[in-house]
Amino acid sequence: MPTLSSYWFADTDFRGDTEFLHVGHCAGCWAWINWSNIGSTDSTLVWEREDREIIIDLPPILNASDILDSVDRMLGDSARRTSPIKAGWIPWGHVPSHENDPGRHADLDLLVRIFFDFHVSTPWYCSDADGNINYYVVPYLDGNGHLGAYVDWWSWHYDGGGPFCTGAISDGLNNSVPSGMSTLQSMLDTRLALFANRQFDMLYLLPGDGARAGDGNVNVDEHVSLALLPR
Amino acid sequence: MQKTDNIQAQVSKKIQECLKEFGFEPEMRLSVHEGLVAARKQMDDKCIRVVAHITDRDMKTSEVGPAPAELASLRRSQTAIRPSLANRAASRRGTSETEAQKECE
Repeated sequence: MPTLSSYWFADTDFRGDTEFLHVGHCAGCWAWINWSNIGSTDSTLVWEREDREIIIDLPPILNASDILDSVDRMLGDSARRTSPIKAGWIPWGHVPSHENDPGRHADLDLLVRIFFDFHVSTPWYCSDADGNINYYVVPYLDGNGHLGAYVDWWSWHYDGGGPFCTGAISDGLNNSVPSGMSTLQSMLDTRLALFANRQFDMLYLLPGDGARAGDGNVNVDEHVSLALLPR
Repeated sequence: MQKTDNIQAQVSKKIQECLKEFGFEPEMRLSVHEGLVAARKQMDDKCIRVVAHITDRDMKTSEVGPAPAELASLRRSQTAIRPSLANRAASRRGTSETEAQKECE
């Protein structure tokens, strides 16, 4: 039975807090959405989902112990991870400094933003710093329908560290974050190898865990699933 | 013009020596771009704090960067299908009218 999934987003361009409703319906039948109060929303998406759809819920995979260990090793002494790894979608037009490379993607092309929060402890003459480290990943199907993904962009941001320690904190992040791209790519390749013998007709992202029934809310900036239609 | 090579280290060491003369036990941190000397000492029931920071750059608290161009280009060339809302964006009120108007002009 196909499922009509509807999503209402708090922000424009399909971002932020997301209300969702999944309605299964028989082929040739209406899917009813009778929901009078969806709060304040600025954009909406609807997707008709086939029975053959396969879902890969990204946050549980990214929070496997080997990945967390690698991330913590990457940070070393420069910072301490203070959150689980989150994976949301972000349209290219909202990626920090995308304007520096305008032809890289279309504004509404979706990247998976894999990110986590960190904390840096500082000596007595500075305030501690808190921020986040982000990697932007493009999942794709190649011409033969094989699943791939590549790390395309990174960013970090923090508040605090003043008045004298921002230089040392930034140096530490600039040493570890760009080089983390290859670490993340290697981990993605290992996971994707599990799908090497499979071919797919379609790939798309869905907010949340990809459930096919019920309603609720999720922040699409922090939680998406990969959806695939097997060939 | 005076060269800045090691100027952070030279100034930091001078300040460190000066602080030692006054009985402080300063700690010093040096990097390519920065020198930092910090010390605390209890004097006459007061905690005296000294921090000297010598730098040749403005500080940034955010940074971004792309994947290496060759790698990104290679991956893009392999991509046949990728997630995008570009063809499926819900129309915004007035967008189609504006585009139609542009075509007329």
